[in-house]
Amino acid sequence: MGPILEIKGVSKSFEGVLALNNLDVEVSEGEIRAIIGPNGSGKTTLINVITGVFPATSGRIIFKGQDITGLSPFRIARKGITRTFQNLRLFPSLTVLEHVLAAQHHRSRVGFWGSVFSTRSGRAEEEGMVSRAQEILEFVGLKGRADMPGLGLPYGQRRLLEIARALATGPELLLLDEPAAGLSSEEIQALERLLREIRSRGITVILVEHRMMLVMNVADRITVLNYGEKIAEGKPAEIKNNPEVIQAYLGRAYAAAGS
Amino acid sequence: MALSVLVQQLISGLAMGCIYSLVALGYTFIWNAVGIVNLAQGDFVTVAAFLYAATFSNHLKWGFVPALIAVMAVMALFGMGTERVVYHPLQGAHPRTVMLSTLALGILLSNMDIILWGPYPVTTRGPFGQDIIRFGDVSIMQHHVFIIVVTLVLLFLQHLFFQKTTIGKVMRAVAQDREAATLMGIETGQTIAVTFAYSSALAGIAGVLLAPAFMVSVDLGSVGLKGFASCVIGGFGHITGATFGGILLGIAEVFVSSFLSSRYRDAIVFVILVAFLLLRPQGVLGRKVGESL
Amino acid sequence: MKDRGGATRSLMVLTVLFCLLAIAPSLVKSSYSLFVLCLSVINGIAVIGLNFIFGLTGQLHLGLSGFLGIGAYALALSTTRAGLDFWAALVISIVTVSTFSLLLGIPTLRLKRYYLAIMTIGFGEITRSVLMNWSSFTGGVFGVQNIPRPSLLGFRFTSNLAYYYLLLCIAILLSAVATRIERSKYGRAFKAVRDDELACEMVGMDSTELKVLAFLCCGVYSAIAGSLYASFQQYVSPELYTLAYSFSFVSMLVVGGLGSVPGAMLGAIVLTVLMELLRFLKQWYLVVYAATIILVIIYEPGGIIGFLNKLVERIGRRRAPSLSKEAMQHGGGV
Repeated sequence: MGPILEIKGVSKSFEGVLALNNLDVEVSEGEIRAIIGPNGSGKTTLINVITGVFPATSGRIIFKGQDITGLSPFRIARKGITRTFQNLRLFPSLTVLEHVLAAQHHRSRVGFWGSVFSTRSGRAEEEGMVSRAQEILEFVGLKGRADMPGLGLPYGQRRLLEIARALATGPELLLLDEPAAGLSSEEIQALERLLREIRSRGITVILVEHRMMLVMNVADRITVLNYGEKIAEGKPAEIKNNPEVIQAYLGRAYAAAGS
Repeated sequence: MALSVLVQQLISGLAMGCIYSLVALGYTFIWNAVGIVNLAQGDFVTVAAFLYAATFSNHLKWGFVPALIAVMAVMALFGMGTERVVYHPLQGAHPRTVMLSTLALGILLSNMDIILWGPYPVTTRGPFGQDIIRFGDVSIMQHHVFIIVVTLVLLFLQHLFFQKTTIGKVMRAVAQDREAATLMGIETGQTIAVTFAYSSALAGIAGVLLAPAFMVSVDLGSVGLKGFASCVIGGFGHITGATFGGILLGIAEVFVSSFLSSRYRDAIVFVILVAFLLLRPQGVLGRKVGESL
Repeated sequence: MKDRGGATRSLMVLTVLFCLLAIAPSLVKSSYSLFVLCLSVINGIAVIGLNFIFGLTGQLHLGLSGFLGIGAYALALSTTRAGLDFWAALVISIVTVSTFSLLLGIPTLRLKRYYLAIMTIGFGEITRSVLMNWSSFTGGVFGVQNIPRPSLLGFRFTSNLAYYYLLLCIAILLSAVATRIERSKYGRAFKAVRDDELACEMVGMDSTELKVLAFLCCGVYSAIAGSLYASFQQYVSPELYTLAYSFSFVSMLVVGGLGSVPGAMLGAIVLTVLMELLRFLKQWYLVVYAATIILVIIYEPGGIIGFLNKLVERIGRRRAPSLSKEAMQHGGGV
């Protein structure tokens, strides 16, 4: 299948420090693409640049053949790219269900008065949104939690809620920034299953992750970044044995011990 | 417009611009250190102007320099007190909460002014009174020149302070990245208190310099808006920008109000402010970075 | 479907509040008390308006005096100068304030820093200075006199008692609409913007558009409150519309409980009455007032409604499992 996302020569510098250096990445439709790399290699910056949190210093980002460079975050989201955050950003005053409803806001069609005065179409739309939300909550494994405040969930489930919120926007490309951080090993196994199910729904996933086991298990392809540059790309098995990757990750100590 | 008038206007605009710069710097340091706009900054200027005019100059008959130092000292203490009362207990609260509490402080102060110093405007004589210097057919208020000189000296001292002293360097580090500074083991709490003290002392100087040139009343608080406009013009959070923006605004204001009615002076400033937010929100010197965070 | 307890509780408070207001004129004797009651209800409408932008959407709007002043003058001038009927003039007032709210809101709310606070302070001050100085149009310091009271189906609300019940009906209607807006998908979106703008944008919400919409709602309610005030006093003058006036509405909302319609109404009544009781303090009164607000912000940021909710929660804890501490802390407040 063709590429859904093309990153062409993207650089990003902060106050002269280069966080991404002339990066080229192509992500195919329907795959789970992992992006790995040591701390500070530019993974989160890449997500921020793709989603428009800050503009790229140079280069272009093409989504489904359309140039989305420099669009504001909500416009990029409306085109079908959404994300989760490494340091969770839930809405403290909304319930679990309301999180998932809010994420459908931009797709709702009933106008202000229709929604405020619950006209027939307004009510129908709200009901439709609620049942869709319930379905998504069940899908990620948060059934029965709908009426809790989002921050009332235990930590692992908050990560799931972020994924549910992202799915509710109806994305074609989902960017997950360290979704396994802070999860127990059972929770990671559940996450692994969830990621596969998301892929089987036709959603392309970009996964930035530290937990190698998870990456190796679910990723179709892996891109490795170091100092903002791509140093390797390939199937998990290829990456596992790539000496340059081992070098970047484990440094000289490992190389010395191995030799 | 005759050249002489032009020069006169320029000097008086420059003098007002210096005052705006001082107020703008006050906003900038607090913004950089704690990420809030101190909505009482304009009222700090008024308090300082009253302190100087009514108490130290008119009542106690102190000379200009001791009075200036006294006002700065009082204002610095006052700034620390402000930090204790309206910022410190609200750490971790949303910035809007802290800003609301600074607004409450501003309202409280403008009414305290009236209680302490009466409802009538106070006038005072500065070191030069209404004296005028003449160069050919150009006549310039000596006090205006004085304002410009004092501000320049102060900016120079400030530069030395930030480059050479430890506390200055620490303040700069905290202003650039508070979290990183904390990680490096800098006592941010103390530094924030010093930042409030310094910002208030700047408002103190602005008040003392303003007092002889105007009637001192609570209406002086409107320099708060002018100072903020200066920040936006120069690029918010930008130290050089604040200085530059103030001077630009001072000059623009004098010229625009000499063409249009001076009654709408404040309204003109506001229109300039809106225009900047629309067309160049990052200001003249600022870069458009991280606006969406 | 969502947090039924909170919704029912807030409806209950609102109903009790309006029932008390409805019988209040028969409990108080003096015409002065009736005057204070009218003022409370008008202020309540303004605070409910402020709640859209500040309480629900979290944007610090400190220029309500500008909205109220323009609203009051639009009504005053179009009734006295153009000879329009009250209701037609009310429409003019709403359109005028809405226009100003867009002119101010669009450039300012687009930006994500705290520009709105100081821009609205500036807007309020400029409004007052223009009302004061543009004497040929606004009457300058003398203000506008002989503003008519409204009439409906041939009945003229001339007495303060009749006008009070008209105010109460309008307030009930506007509270109901505000409650519906809060419960609609827009209310939900407003709260999401308040909580985390970036997260909103990431799920496709145009946070600027939502903020402008909330600001516009605030403009409409302010226009109505300003007009009702002008018609109530039958006189407007510019010196009322100060920053301290704007601050008093923010205070009412904070004291009542941010983000809550009954809180807005309750705060308006409590502080309007309190202000009248504290008149004897003269200049000290705003000092005491401002100091009180600082204390409320620090010690009871949820306001009266937040306090009541905590109380109910404490009593109900035996029956229901408690929320996590973190969720409690985030449940409302400034």
